[in-house]
Amino acid sequence: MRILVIEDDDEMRGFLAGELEAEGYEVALAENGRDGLMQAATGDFDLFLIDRMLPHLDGLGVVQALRSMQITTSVIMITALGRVDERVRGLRAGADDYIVKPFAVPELLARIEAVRRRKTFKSDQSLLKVGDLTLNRLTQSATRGGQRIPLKPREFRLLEYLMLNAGVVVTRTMLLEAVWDYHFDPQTKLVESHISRIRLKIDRGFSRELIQTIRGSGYRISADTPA
Amino acid sequence: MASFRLAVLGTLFSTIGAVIVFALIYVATGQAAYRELAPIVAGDREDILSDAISDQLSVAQEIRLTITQGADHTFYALAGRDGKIIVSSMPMPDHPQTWHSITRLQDLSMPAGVSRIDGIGAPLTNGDMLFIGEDASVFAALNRHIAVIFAIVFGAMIGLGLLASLTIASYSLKRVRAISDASADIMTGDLSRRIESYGIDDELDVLTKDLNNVLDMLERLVENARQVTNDIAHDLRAPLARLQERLQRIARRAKIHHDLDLETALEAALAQTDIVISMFAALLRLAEVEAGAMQGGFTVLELGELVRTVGEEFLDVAADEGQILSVEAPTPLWVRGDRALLVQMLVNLIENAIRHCPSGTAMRLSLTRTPEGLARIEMADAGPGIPEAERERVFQRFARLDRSRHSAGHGLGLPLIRAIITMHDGTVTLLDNHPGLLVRADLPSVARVGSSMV
Repeated sequence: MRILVIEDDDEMRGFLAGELEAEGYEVALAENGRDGLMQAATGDFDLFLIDRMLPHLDGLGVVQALRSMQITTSVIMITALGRVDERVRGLRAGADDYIVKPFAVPELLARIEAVRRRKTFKSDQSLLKVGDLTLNRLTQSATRGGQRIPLKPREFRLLEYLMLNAGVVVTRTMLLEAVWDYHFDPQTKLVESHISRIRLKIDRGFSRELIQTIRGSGYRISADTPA
Repeated sequence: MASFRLAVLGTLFSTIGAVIVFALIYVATGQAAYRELAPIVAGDREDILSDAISDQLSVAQEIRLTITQGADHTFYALAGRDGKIIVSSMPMPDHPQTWHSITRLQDLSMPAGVSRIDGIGAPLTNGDMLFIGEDASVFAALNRHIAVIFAIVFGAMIGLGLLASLTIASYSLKRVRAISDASADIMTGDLSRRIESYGIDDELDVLTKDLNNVLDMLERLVENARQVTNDIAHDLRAPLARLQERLQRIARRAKIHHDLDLETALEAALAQTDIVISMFAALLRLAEVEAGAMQGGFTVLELGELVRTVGEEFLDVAADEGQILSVEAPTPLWVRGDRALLVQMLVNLIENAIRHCPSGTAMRLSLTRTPEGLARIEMADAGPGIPEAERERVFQRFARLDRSRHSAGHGLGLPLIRAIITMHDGTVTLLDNHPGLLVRADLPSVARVGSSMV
């Protein structure tokens, strides 16, 4: 998988390159918006990682230009802390996701994987399946091993998001944003409490635990035995 | 009302002044009358006595004769030693030997067509008392005219004076009220508010300018303080990102070299940077809200549904902490606001209670409508509460009570709640829940769009 990183801060660019290469991604670099757009338009990439603030042509401009050229490659915007409206503007311009700087590496990696999965996975199907767990998105109900599991609306949305990203790690921040639409950091164990309730409902009494906690990263739902 | 009292006092003083002037004039006309009439009265007396001798009549007979002959301007009263009237064309005053001004008001038995008689009496050689008076109606009329003129002039003076002082009083009252209104606005946090100057360089204008200068300074200081925190937050973002980035780099190396001790230590360090970053995020959010930059996103929304939805998210969280949270929002209430910010405010409100209360505490989130039509959000808990003296301080950034210093949290929850409520033209107060804390937020509510007011 090839990723183009457009970032003007030298240290940040080097860091991203190192981390992404260590994860096995192929990385290309650009240090301003103009060069970045040039490379993006001519090269063959699977994902663009674009900083919001760039010299010559800013991140929003790059995304808008790419989309107007019918280039549909996934884009993750990197925005600065404390600018709430940036998120909306980034998504409106055509970015697939955004990440707030400073961020933890697992957060970035999780978002890259989630964006990639979204590109290949048909998210409009009404039945989601992970192992023997089935989620009916029309009736908002789950069954496991033929046993019906009642879900509260929030639990349904949480399980739905996990299952849409089956096999991929989702972070606490990703869950807060996607399931609750909270763009701030709660000071209590909101996510943990809900995950534990869902676990009680879908994993209790079954030998295989579908929801796994990935230490330092987040959660993953998967029918495969955890490594 | 002080200026009104001043106006009344001024009017009172000019009234007293007018009365004194009138009294002086009254005395002066009285003296003028005496100077003019006393010689005439004395002459009349001499005439009547000498006429009596030349006519070989008694004084009584002479007087009777004079009266019947028609003395228009001179009046007589003759009384015997026993005080009985012998002959008279006017009433005999008491103590006749002093100068008298007898008016019709004092004695109704005055001769017809005469309103005042001035005169004096003296005993005759045989011991009878003879009082002779002159018609002083002219002087009475003069006095009346003077009184009328005074009444008109001073009435007008007092009336106009009162009117003028009331106008001035209400004018300065208006300006003083403008000053106190502006002060009230400033105290609710609008530091950019200034008092309007009238540009007329009077005392109030000088005061207004001085107050505005003080406000300028105050605003600069507050702005500086705010700017410093915001600058620190902004400027520290990049180095903080680098710090986190480097720690993560070292952590990766430690993992490769299977250095478990180093890995654990770095994990702890990274957890600390996460806390700092979360604090920064909250601080920057606070700065953003306080700057009012988000007011563009205001819509009319139903608060009851919002309170129930957010409240219910935390039922399990509270239960996991061994606490009992209940949520009550039975009546729909519409407010104008930013949905995301109100959600964050509610989350902060609930989390503040959850984090500061021990296990087993009962807490209640409620939304009610006050009699004044405000939307009232209350978060009540039976926890440790906040001492009254500390209640204002906890709204300051990073202000935490000593006993809560050990617990996690960035100390920006209450400041953010207040900033969000203030931005929505509401107020937040901390009250005693007997026992525990009651956080009350009042927001102006609006009529539901497209429906009639109930």
